[in-house]
Amino acid sequence: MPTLLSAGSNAQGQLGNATIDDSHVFQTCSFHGCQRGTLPPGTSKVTCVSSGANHTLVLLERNHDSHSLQPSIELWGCGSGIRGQLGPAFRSQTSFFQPIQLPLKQYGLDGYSYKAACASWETTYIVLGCQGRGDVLVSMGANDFGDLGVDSKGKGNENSHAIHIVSFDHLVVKGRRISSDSVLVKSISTGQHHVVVHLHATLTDASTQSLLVGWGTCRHGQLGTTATSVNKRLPVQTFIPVPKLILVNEPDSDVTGVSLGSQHTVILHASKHLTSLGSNRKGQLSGLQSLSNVHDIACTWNGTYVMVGKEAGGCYIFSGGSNSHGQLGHTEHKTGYHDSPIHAAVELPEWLPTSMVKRMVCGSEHVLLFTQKQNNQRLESEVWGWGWNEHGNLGLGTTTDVHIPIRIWPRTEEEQNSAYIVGGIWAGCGTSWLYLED
Amino acid sequence: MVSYYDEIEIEDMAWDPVKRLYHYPCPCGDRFEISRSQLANYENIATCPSCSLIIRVIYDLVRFLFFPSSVPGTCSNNLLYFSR
Repeated sequence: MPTLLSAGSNAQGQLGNATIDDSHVFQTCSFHGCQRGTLPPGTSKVTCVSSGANHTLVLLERNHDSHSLQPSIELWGCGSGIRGQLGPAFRSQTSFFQPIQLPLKQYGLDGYSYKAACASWETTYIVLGCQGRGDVLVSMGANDFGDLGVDSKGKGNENSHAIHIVSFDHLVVKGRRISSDSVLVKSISTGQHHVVVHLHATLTDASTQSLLVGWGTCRHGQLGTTATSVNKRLPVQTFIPVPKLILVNEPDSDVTGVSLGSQHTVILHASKHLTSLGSNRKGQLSGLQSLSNVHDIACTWNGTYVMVGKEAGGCYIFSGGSNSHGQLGHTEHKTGYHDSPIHAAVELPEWLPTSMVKRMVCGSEHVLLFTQKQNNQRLESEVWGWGWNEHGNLGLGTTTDVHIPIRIWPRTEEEQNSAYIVGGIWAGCGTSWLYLED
Repeated sequence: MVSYYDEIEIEDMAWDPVKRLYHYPCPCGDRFEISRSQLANYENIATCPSCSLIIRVIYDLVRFLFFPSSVPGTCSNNLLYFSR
């Protein structure tokens, strides 16, 4: 049976393993009403895991009975719901996953289903879709830095008993407004307290436009230039409470990836070039905009990781930013508090060509790679990781930082010979997640 | 030498009016915390209760002491503090 595994920091039950103790090895997650360690019956896939400070959201694809052709998507959550981040109905803490019921009918959203779920620090974002209608973006939870994206009366002033519908109606593109029921959410990415959403929207003149919008913290320019960063006489704005358009270097090249750190934003274009915004205090943006042939990007809070294709095939994984806990994955600056601009490649073992790397994800201060190779007609999948490991978040059974990539799954012969393959990897604030499927 | 996880300006921190302290996210999911009285006492290290990590808080002590209304989270209790 497929399983979801987690390791790392667990102060408020965000690992969903029915305890509130840190786990230094990967353990199975528990779901309400299900046998310990198993996914709810009929689950055919875990499509998304996203975690904030102390809460985790998962989307499960489930067939309730064998006759239904269309699987339904369910939203489950665990950890802290104190600020309303697990929905208005749940205001406490849970160490195992519980289904999240949202009062969609009350907001005229019946018939909508879950498309994506994403978490920032103590806030949750849900993308809802409905056949023949535009997508709806819902936010709930804390609003310390305008995180909700709705114009409530300022910092910390949130109604935790409500869900909020983020509106894009006020945006003006090329002098034209967006028809709000035409919006399609292509992706949503979150940092600590800022959010970037990639939209496809129809304007009032019936033309379709690809847009990047963001809100939340903006002091370091992570949402692009603001009125106060142009006019120095205005007081510095710490956050933007409603979505604003983000201007990119290549407006004609569509956005294919967005990744956010704590104070920076990196945008990947279809042209395989990057736009970088925000703080470069630790060298996390140095050299990024001069790179070409970029395949994938990921950001830790204070670092940027870029997969750049080689002319001869395969690719490099370049890293830049804070290296205080071995996050950059190379030995050059092994000791001490050194930050590095993007110029050194992550040191993977020679026998692990980067062509095998299928996916790269970043937690707050650690990085995971998902690799696949064909071995005698058997697909072998592995997970590699490095970086900050104080909470055992690499699942190695230790709490020492890892400076050079190390294989974190499978670890034992038993795991190696099991019939399961890794179907997905995710990482959060000192947490790592593996989904094993048949 | 003390190794800080990060150096954070006070404008980037949030104010908790209940516990009366400034906080900033820690990568473990908990938060770095420092109280107003610590800041007024020239202390600038915010600690995380769940971690070994610490941050150095960057703030303008003069502004903090003499122009409290320009600093988030300040209120009339400030006067009480300085008249103690």
